[in-house]
Amino acid sequence: MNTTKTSSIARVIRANRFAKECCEMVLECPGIAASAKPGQFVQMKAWEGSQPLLRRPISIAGVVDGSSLLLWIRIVGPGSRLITSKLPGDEIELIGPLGNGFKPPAKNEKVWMVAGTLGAAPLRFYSQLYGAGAECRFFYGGAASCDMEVVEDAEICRMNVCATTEDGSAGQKGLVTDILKPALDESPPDRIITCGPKGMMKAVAALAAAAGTKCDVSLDCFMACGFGACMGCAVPILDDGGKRYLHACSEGPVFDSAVIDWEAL
Amino acid sequence: MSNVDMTVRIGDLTLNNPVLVSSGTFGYGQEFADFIDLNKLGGIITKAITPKPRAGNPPPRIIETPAGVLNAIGLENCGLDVFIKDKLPYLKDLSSAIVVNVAGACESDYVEVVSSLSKEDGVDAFEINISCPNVKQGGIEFGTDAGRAGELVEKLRASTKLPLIIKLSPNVADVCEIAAGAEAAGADAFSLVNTYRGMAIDIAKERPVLGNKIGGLSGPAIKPLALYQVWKLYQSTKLPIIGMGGIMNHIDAIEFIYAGASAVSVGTANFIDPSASVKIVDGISTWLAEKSPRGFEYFIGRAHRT
Repeated sequence: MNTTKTSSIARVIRANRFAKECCEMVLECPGIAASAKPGQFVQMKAWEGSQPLLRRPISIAGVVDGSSLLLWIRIVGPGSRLITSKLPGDEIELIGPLGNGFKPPAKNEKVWMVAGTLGAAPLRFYSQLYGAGAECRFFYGGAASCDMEVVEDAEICRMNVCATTEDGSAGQKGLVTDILKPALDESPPDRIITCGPKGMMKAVAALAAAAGTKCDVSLDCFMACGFGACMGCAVPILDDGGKRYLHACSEGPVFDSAVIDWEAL
Repeated sequence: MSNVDMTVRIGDLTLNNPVLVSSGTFGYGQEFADFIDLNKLGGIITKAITPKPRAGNPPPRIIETPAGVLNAIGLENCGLDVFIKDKLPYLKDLSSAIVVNVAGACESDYVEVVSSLSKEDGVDAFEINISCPNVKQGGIEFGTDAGRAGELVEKLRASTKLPLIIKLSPNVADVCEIAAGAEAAGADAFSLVNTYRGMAIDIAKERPVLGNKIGGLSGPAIKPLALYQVWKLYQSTKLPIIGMGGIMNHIDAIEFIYAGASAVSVGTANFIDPSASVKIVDGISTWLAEKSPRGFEYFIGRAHRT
């Protein structure tokens, strides 16, 4: 996927609190919105100076009105706090679209989605762009009921959603893999696409492998540049003729789960 | 842009302007082609090249620190053959100087890369990496011992007519001593600083954050330290210096020039703003046009006159 990467200034259209310690933002950025694909991300900066120093990589959750990006951002530190404190009309620096997205569904291919909290973002975009529809099963895992706002999103609601929470305060109590496994045992799809915490994706990849189902994962890594220059976002892979790492930004962030060395990740 | 002459000479190498981009922060150049016109740069210093491909260090390889970045990439690179076949053809069509950063575990590694690439079109100079803090056998032993630095440069001098820029480590008691060894052996120029050795510890996991445990610190956090090293080396060498360490804008770059750098190299800033280097070229050009009718070289080391 060789979309041209651009460095742009985006205008905040909307910014509202979303789920637990998260923010939903809509940023007007026609260039990136026109070419973005599900699984791709943007590198964001919303401050002057060197503190924090690096941009923050954020997965694209969708396109709004053809010219704006929808982003779901978890507030975890000073960078995400500064980004999410921007108000409508403010400007944010963006580089994107970066990375390679999920493969579009092949004709008649049955794709299921498995998300952990904000890992739902690229899967939401997949549904939006490729029209996943009601026959697509969407397995969701959150920590508690406060994470359920994600699956109340109109695009996600279109799909056949099964949700779990770890504390049982909404949906079925347990982990998302607890509901995925019996579903796979019953009738596996052609492919699973998944995004969420590393432990969850590792478990999903193992279940998919056991079921003989292809599984594409979208990984989240430390990275500096986001466009292949720093080689910081190394992803260990099962030895491929001496090659031991791929790069999340330029060769991912979406990978076939079978190539990843999960023990070394 | 104004028509000021920013041409600068680094030994036998002539740069269109004094702004280069640092090894390890600019990939093999093409990664930035979507963002900038690469011909606007004075020079591109490539990712370090070793005779054989290197996989690099285990992750995490990079973390943010206050106004800085700690990295331990581990000289991951495609190796000499792939560089010649896949990377150099693109670079040689550019008007910017192409400086290949060379690393190795032993003298013969450096000699192999330098002599092979000297036969290829498109390489204008070598930057000899004797200062990588992140691999056990990545040349740092040459960069911390004046005698061994001199021996290595002597061998390389016999292997190429192209300019040899020796990239110095700040992780030594006296950078001037290492430089003197290299200068006597036939080096053409110096670049400094490479990163400062550092680390971070994850107290929840009770272990170092970086997969390699230790790394190299770059970014604005090290700028005053780097500037001092350039200042100090300028007083002890006649050779030109390419100054680097935390340069984020043209003001930072001009500080290095006043300290004694004939050219500057932009590193970590490329990660944050892929057009930072070109903005610095434009900034220096505007500054020079406003500052004085004198040429650029008048300002090199100017802060030493007081």
